[in-house]
Amino acid sequence: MMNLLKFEWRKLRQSKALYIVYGLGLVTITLMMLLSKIMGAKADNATAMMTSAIGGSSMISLTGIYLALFACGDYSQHTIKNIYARGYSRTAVYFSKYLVSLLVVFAAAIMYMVYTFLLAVIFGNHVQNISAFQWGSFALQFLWLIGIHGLYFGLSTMVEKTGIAVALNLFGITLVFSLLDLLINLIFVKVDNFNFNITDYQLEYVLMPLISGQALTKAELIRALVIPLSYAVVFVGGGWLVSQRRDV
Amino acid sequence: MSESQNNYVVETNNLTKTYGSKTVLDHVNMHVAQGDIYGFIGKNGAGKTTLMKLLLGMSQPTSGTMSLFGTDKLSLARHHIGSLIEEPALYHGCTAAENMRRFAILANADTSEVDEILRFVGLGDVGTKKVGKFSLGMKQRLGIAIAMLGHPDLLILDEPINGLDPEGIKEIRDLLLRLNREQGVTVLVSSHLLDELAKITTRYGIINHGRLVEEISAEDLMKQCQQKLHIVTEQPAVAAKLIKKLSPKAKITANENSLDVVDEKLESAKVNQALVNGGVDVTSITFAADKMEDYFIQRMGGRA
Repeated sequence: MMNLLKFEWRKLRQSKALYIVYGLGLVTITLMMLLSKIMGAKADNATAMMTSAIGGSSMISLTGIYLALFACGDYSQHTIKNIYARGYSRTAVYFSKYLVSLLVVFAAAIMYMVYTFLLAVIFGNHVQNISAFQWGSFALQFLWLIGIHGLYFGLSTMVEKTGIAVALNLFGITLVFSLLDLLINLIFVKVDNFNFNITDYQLEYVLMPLISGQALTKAELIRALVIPLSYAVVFVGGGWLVSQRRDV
Repeated sequence: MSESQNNYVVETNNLTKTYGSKTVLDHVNMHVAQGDIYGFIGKNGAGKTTLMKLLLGMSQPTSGTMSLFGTDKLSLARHHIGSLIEEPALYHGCTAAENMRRFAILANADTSEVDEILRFVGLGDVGTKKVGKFSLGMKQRLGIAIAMLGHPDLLILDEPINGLDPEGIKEIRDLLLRLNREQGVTVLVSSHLLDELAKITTRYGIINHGRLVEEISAEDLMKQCQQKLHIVTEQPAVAAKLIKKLSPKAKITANENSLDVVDEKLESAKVNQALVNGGVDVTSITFAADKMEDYFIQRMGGRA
């Protein structure tokens, strides 16, 4: 397993795609802040801006692209053959990729938060101490990252083709939820007081209350705890099952 | 874990692979001994690559078992195998050296091996050129170089000389011979270039439509294919006795109206004289030889 981690880490360090994708995100943050400053938008404090850095930037979409490239890379280039042929189990190969890519997503999130904070300070936004609520929000956001990472990573491994994985990660989930929402509403159109909303279970909607700065309701807190972990278990498990059976 | 008592590096037992209703490998029992250069021969689609992929864990068998280095702990055994299956699988955006360094980690190889092996396969001077810009022959050499990382005890090579020029083919052939003779590396190699394979192979496996038709040593194959006297006569039994008197070591196969005699020291004139003196009517005496290529083609189910 240690060899696999070293191998994945070496690939990652030299991955131009990684630097381009996340570098693009930093450029976007800079431009957005510059634009706000020029337009004279009401400035939030730097600490609050840091709390909303993950959801308020393009990081999630870029993570979808990066994970598709990373998870599918060895399958689409067929280099996975060389890895299996050296006697490494499919489970070890899969989870080494999972762990390394999760660490990168965490590192990217921290980088985005710190960068947003520093930029806000440079632009003259005032700084507040991090509140207990904000520490809790950070923790829940990292839990949420485990969910979104699991979703993108598992899906990408299942489909194996980079292009399809990118499309699925960027648009597929939203599309599926929109269609399901439409279908459910059509089916239950005549039921009185029907207030089930499937999009409440979409990861993006779970994140919103965490970055809003408002106190969470009990339902929101439960969703923030349970839904990301459920996504991770289902999609990482699904990707693992597919990787076990696939001929390369 | 079951340990077999023989010295087979590769042994399969009724190994079968099916895709839906299509049987690609059908109860294959293969035996590759320590020190062999095992030539695996068959038409396109006969099952050569599929079998190699099963041995390397790239694909799962439908039924049957296999052992590598006498053990059924396949993952551990595969640490001692270097392989090249189909086209070389490489990181095209990287240099040859970087590809080697990455796979060196997986092969537990020292990075000092990298330059040495690259020079060995004739890629010592490619510098910073990206692998994506390599010719097919260069990629093939790099694929072989990656297979050599970590001093493997067994090399499994699927069509390794594909895309190489005659000089490159000779270099790879010499390389395999050196690895086999100097370092005792066992080699399982497939190729459709029978002449090239015949120059190095010590044992052959012939596969046709997923079935291993025959395993034969190079020595036995040479005997099968060596020149023989083909004698047409109405009295093959009498003729056989006379020839045995003339040369007790001769190998004689008698048929209804003819017999084949294999003895490299026997001259046709002497045989003819002995038969005539013994009262045997000889219709004809000719030299016949089974060509190696014909031998394979016959067992592979005719020409493709």
